[in-house]
Amino acid sequence: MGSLRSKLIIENTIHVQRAIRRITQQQLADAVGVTRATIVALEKGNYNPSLDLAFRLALYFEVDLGELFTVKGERDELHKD
Amino acid sequence: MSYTKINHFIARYLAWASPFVVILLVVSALIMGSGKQGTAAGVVLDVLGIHFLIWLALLLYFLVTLLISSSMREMILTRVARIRERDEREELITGQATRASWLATFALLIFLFLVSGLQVSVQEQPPAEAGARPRRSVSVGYRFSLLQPTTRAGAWPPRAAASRTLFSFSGVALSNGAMLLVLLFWHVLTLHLFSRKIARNC
Repeated sequence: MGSLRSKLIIENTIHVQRAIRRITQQQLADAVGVTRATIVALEKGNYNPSLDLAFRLALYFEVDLGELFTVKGERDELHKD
Repeated sequence: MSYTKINHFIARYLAWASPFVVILLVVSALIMGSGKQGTAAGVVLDVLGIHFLIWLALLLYFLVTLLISSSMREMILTRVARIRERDEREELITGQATRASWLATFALLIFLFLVSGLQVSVQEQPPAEAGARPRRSVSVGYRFSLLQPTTRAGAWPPRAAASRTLFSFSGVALSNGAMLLVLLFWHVLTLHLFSRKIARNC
């Protein structure tokens, strides 16, 4: 069995910011120094970035961190111990 | 040519030349003792033998370098396990896959350790009286020794007079080399599979 741990549900507006600036996922990935797969995972909400990457994205889009990432709630996840 | 380039060249050579080593081992097993030494096949075998010595020496160098050089380890991780650490997400995948793979290998090692020493036998003893049913007995034991025994101490299964062995199991039938090969493949395979699985969800 495992234990329940709560995890924040963080949504982001990366795809919106990207659409406004008309840049591709690859262009954004190159600009912030990650792979395109990471941008895909971020946009799908499958991956929460580190603080470093989050700030790099915010700096690139010239928006506040709170504008790019918002906490939508909390969910319990079964964690294998 | 830089030190890293030489190491990468050696690694590539070891990988590409490994089929020739396998061929040598197979061919030598077939030719040895058949009186073909000195023939064309024997000359080819000699050449492959020299190649094998070079390959073995480079393999030893490669293994030592693997312990020292971080760039070599990175290259092996990329080539063998198909894992790349180009950004933080891939580092996370590698970390989780390594953890899962370590646990899977650990479980297999414990299983093999238990099975390697386990001894089970089912024996049937003829009835003492005519018309009575034969008596069956199950013997379970565990054998562990630090050093490889030179003589087989205590043959398994222990046989009672006039008894018939129906089933006998004494350790893993694989040789030491085969067992290590299984572990090697298992470790690489689990790392590869876990990294793919984690990458799909991350």
